[in-house]
Amino acid sequence: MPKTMAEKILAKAAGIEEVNAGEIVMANIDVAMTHDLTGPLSVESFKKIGVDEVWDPEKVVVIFDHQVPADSLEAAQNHLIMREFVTTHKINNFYDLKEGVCHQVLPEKGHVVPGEVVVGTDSHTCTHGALGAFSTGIGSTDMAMVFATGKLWFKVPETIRFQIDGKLGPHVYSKDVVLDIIGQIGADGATYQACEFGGETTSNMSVSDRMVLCNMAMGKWVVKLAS
Amino acid sequence: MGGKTGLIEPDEKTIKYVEGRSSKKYQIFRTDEDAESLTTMHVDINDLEPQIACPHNVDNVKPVSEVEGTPIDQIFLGSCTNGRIDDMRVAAKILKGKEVSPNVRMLVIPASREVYRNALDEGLMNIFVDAGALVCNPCCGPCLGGHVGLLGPGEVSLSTSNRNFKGRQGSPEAEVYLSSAAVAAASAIKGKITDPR
Repeated sequence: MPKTMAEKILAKAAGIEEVNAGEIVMANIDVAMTHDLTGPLSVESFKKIGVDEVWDPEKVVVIFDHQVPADSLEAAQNHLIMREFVTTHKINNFYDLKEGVCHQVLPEKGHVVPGEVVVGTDSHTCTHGALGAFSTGIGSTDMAMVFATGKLWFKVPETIRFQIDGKLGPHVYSKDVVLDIIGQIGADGATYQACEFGGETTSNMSVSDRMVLCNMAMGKWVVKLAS
Repeated sequence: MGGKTGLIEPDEKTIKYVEGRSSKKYQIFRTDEDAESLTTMHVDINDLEPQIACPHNVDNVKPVSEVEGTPIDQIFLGSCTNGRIDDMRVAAKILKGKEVSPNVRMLVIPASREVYRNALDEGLMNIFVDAGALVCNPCCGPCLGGHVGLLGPGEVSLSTSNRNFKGRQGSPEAEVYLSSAAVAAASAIKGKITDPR
């Protein structure tokens, strides 16, 4: 059966032949990324689950970027919680406060490759779809379950493809293209859909420019409904 | 957009990027044209002008010509949307030999240490500092409204980030406009929203 990229990646991650939009699948997670602001709640929730070890420390990536260097006692406390977590669980993919913004550091350091499922406790985790991965933001407590089991359920999204064609004029960039699309479909447009960007213009863009398109695909948190 | 994810089919540019940085195995998937759950929207960008998301919603988008001249208090060049080396190059080219308006403060925040390092090597940071911009360490900056560069009541920001909801960069009585790096740099010189063309 003809399928979308989103369906094919989620089928592979779920270890089944074929999945259809609308179905619920339990996917194996390839990369689980968290940062200094939403990470502490994931760690606290993970402790409550009562599992001793993270399912696979090599698949967990921790990046400090939101409050670096610490600008308050609360931020300093959050950093302490996360540093203790990476030490306890032997998480080698730890980027302390000097590396930068998680959605730039994650692909720069080679953690994102095509065909994988990437989750992060940040709504702009959708950025990494620019490299052909199924990548999305999840809640801190969802991440606790990922830490414990390496799995997370997804409702397989339908796909809307934005077929972008034409030549960008002087001083017109991918940011302008994606703002134009958002203006047309609205902040609530494409809700719970996989937003695929294609066409001649997308092909001509650099990887950085493509990241801008995907970065803005998830304009707001969307509640995922099981039914 | 309220999408679950963004996706782009990998091509040779993707492979070059990934293979230069990762030793992980990868698998390329493509969407079949006749997939049942696929709908297509055509977007023609031939006549597109620079776009601005106006307060207080990302979908309140207007062409730059409609908001040109809006006075700005703070410019933020950075974030996971537009804090990459390409953005630094575009902004530096516009700011070279110019000065940031005394009426605005401009924050330049490279998205990563690598971006920062490359921008230093290319001399871009000299241009920003000479223009009177404030270069900060790689981080999310004012985007989340909880760290550096917060806005006070009544202040207006032009930002290359991705969100402009009420209170997003500080005071709920502040306003945030979103744009490309080029609009941000051109606007920094004039102190008001400016078409970079």
